[in-house]
Amino acid sequence: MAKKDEFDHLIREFRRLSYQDEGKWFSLPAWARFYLILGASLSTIKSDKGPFVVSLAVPTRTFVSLFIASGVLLARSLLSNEDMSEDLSRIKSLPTGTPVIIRDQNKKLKGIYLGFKEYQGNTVIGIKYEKGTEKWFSCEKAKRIEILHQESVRLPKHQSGRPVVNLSPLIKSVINNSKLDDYVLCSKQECLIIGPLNLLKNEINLPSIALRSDNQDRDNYSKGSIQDILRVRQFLPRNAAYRTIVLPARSKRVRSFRNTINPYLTVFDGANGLKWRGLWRSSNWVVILDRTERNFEIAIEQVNQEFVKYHDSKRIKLKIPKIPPGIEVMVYKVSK
Amino acid sequence: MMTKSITNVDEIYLCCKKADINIHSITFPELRTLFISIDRFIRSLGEIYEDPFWYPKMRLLKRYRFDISAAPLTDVLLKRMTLDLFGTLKSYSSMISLMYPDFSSPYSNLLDEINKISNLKLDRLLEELSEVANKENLERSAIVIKESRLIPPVEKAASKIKSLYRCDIVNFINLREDVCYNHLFIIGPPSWYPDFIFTSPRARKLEIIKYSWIRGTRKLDNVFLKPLKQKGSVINISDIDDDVVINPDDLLPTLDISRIIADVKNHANYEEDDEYINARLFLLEGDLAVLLEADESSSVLVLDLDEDRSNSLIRVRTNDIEIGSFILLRTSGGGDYILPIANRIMEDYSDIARERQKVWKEKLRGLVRQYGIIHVVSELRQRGSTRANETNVRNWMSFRSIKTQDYIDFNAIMEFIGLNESGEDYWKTMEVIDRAHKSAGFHIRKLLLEKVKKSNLEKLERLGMMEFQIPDEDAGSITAFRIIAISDKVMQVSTIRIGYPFSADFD
Repeated sequence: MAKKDEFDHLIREFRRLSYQDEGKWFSLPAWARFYLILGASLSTIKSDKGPFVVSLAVPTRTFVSLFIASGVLLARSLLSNEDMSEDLSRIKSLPTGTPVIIRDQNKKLKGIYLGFKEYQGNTVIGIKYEKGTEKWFSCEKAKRIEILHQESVRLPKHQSGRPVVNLSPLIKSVINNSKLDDYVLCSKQECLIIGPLNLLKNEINLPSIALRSDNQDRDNYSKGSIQDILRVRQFLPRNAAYRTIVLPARSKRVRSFRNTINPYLTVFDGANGLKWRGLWRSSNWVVILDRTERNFEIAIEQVNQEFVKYHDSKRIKLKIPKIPPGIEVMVYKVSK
Repeated sequence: MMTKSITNVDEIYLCCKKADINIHSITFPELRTLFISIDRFIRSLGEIYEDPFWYPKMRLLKRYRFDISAAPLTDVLLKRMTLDLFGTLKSYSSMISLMYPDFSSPYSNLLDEINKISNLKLDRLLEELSEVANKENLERSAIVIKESRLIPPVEKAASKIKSLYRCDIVNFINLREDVCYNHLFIIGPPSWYPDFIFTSPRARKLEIIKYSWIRGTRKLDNVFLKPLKQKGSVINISDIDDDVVINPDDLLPTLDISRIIADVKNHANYEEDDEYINARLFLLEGDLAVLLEADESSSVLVLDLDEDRSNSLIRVRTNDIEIGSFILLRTSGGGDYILPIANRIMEDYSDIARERQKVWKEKLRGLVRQYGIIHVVSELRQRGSTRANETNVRNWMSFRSIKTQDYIDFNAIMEFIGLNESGEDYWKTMEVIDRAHKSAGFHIRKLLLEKVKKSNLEKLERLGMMEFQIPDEDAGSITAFRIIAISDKVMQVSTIRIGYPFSADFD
């Protein structure tokens, strides 16, 4: 399927997304779908010239950043043309005999790096993970190989490997099969959300989300949670692959992450989050301002000033549905 | 704040989609005339309005005018308020005729109008509200009041009326939550309330109830400079303006912070031995104010209702406190709530410890009085102190601090005051006090957090203040107050005034 068709298919899939409340399933309301589609559409904006900025004034901030981020992550996984060259160079530079970990078919295996070679016109990477057993992986799996920080590793006769992730039916339904391993096994700093950490944690954990079957059996739901899509680092087991990082807006330690987090998208969830905007100017932004929050007017002034100072005159075209009442949106590209 | 489900949040978006806003304007010609007369009289005073003689009386008049426009109160209460006002103002008539003869006649006419009003039926707002409410299904309705202090009398009034007793009575601040009603009855003109009441309505139907001569028209534009196009994004609240003579903002109570500050200074009894520190004035809900230390490192306990209960108590630097926050102040038990608990932790040692603390600080203060602070700073530096400066020396000699941060500075002080042989002993004692204070702080925080977790904080959100009785007998009670304004000026006040709420309503 061409990328555009895949993208349109994803947008149509959003209509089948449902949530559970008191034991019953309901279709995601129009505003939630709007945020998902907005997020997905933002991923289609060309990255040439400056980053984009989307500002939203909303009747309540609850769930907004999570749905937008989910839309972004799902669309990006679909549209990404993975550039393997950096990962491949990294692996090629390793000395043979280096202890490594490889994540493959949802398993985590310890092994020893054997080197690389050309096979039928492709570069393949050799890993020994059992006594007497070597496996040669295609170079596309280079990003799944990480150095095991130990001097040596003892290999068993037989290694079944530990399951890395329990994959929910939801994530298996919304992410293309060919991209699923990458999505759950490889960390990527796709999204940084700076906002009220405790509230976000509750929002992530609260609703069960599912994709309703599109065939005759309409009571069949592929269930999961928003966390399955967002893969927030803080709420995953240690060393699990993540896609989103959440930082508490009120913490002074946010500044210390400036050089270590370089996301595709930074979401400033609330006026408190916005004060950190100076630290992530090279990233794309989504600014979410709750109309009822105390510092709403001050934040609006700041957002408008940012627009005046930095906007590019060229319009961005976004394919989004009608904006639901209560929501106001401003979109622009930052001029370089 | 409990996280709501998607269903709950959906209701909020549905309210935005379908909200219906209606204005109900009440005519009351005699009250209208009184409002105009009050306005005219205040204007006629000109500069002398700020006079200490006139200001409190005009404030009373303005307060009365606001209260009668802002709350649907019972006739009995309104008559009492009117007669109280009349009685108070009348008592100054003779003085005015002597001191301000030009104003004697207009003042007298004003009193006549107030007296006349007191004989009429005054509860028109309540009547109209009751009538409007009668027509509706009152499940999940709320009456929205501009000022929290008016909520208790409105609750009382509503409890006696069949069409109103089931309504919640809320401050507009409570509508920041993810809560939805079927009806909101908003008392007073729309411009008294923040935009979000209308742009993010928490009800399908909003009924605005106000007097006809107070402007009700309001337009709410887009907030961004260049938003994406959207139908119906601008909200127009239309009212028939024929009868309008009063700008709604002119009726709002003014927060004259500089006047309160001036009053604090005027009422201060400067004693030579008092400690003076930089402080900032905070206005609190309930016509109260408090002075808090404005030092960079000073902090207070704040109750953050936006966080879940286990994380709701946080320490915030005084200079970072925001309007709308809830600060916790001791309101009974006398003194700092940490001190008695710290003494209890130190057990029998506390007497010695406090005596030693008193000895070195009083000696230092004595030398500062004798030689001046600059000389003392120089002497301490000569004795090896690295941090001695005017601010730090004042801090070190204050009873609000325990010790210096580093032993080198403490040693310099001990040498200077002639206690160098006991320097180490004194230092160890100050460390004991410091640890005891920290333990006391943790202890209070733990007790308070337990109390907060068990408390229904809805009352705090509505009324803007709430007392917590702390089980520890030394802790007394601690009250949470909403901050409604913060002075940007810093002033020198005696330390004995710090942290104690006082009435901001000077007469």
